[in-house]
Amino acid sequence: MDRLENVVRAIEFESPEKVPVYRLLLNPDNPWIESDFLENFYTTSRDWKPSREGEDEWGCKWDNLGGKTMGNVVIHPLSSWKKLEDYEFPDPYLEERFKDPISVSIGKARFKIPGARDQISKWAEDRYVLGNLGITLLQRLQFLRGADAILKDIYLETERAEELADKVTDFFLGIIEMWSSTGAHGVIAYDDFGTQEGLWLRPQMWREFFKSRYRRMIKAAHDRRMHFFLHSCGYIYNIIGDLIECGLDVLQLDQPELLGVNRLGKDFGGRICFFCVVDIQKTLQTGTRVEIEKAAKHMIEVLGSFDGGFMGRAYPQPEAIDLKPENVDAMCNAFRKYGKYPRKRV
Amino acid sequence: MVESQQEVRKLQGVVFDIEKTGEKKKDEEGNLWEKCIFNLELSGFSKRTPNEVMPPKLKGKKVRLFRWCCFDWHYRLGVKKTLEPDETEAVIKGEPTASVYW
Repeated sequence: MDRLENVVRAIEFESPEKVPVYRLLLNPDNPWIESDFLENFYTTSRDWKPSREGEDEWGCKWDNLGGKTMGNVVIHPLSSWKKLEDYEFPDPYLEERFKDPISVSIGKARFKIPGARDQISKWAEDRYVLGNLGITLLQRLQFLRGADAILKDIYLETERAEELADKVTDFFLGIIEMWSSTGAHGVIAYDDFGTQEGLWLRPQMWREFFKSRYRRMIKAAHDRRMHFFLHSCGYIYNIIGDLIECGLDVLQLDQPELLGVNRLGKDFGGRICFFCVVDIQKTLQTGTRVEIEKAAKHMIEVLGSFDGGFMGRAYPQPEAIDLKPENVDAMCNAFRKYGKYPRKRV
Repeated sequence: MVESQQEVRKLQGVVFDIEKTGEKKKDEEGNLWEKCIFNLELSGFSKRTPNEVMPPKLKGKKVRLFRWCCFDWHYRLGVKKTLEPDETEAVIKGEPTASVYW
């Protein structure tokens, strides 16, 4: 069974041979050499030039707090609704986004990696290709309007907020279509709906404002025979059932202990595939090798014992959160060691 | 949804019992595996082939499936188990094989 088929079986609950593992290495010859996945990125339009340092293609100015983390947005291009009239949304349908080399920053180092299509032809082999949608809906709205402002808008300026959210959603629908043209097998949205304590907004408001938009994006991926993955940090327990209803295939969690691994397995095991790292705020950060191995094994047992349903992931920027390389090794080794499914022959 | 190698139909059933046969083998990493019989009640085809409809005569049919198990979590009951394509076709044709019978 090749890596692609094994990943698809894990997602579809169809008896994979083993728990698939995602791992990105700083290896210029092939950063995906130890991975069952290749996660791919799109780049900016050729016509776009930042008007100030730290600006992204949407006009958001970032302060990256010394370069180790992604930082935060300090200037929001749509801080006033008046600016929306003249605002130009980026065009998702540019072939160059998937062709041109991509600028990457790791710490203070900046370098270029091959464009998406080149990466696929060079490194994909039989790997599962995952198209990165980038920072998706809620967070993109927060960056455009301001974190507090958009939350107020959803209650007080609903019509305008809906209009803006539709335009942002349209951008991502375009990116999904473009990923499909590259041959990607799935897409992943990055949208942190939760804080440490709960959702950014009431679950009912999430349902009214975000659910139908997620349903549209997920359907767009499914119509093109791709899976839809969602990365979401924080305590998002209250909307997992809604995400499953929308057709979400894979939930990527970096803080599984915050939500409770046993509870996730009891309430949602076998209904959605979990794609998790050992908790990056707790065990992976401070645990011993034995504790990390135990946590990895526990996730396989609780989330992956549904004839599939679990995939292991190494946090792709370990240096940004000071993860010890030996801890990441211990986790990946445990995923490989214990992540073997019942088999037809030995 | 995703077309990887082949999009072929695979039957699934719910595991209601697992019998250990006592036959054991070690793999290349030294893990000890035991040959087991999974008793399944067929429930349908996997979701990758959503248009496949299970023949009515197979609904609820009980089959026995050989698999090798190694870890505690392999013995979970009440969860689905997928037959391989050759096993699926054997069940549909009503022809038992070395790995699936009833």
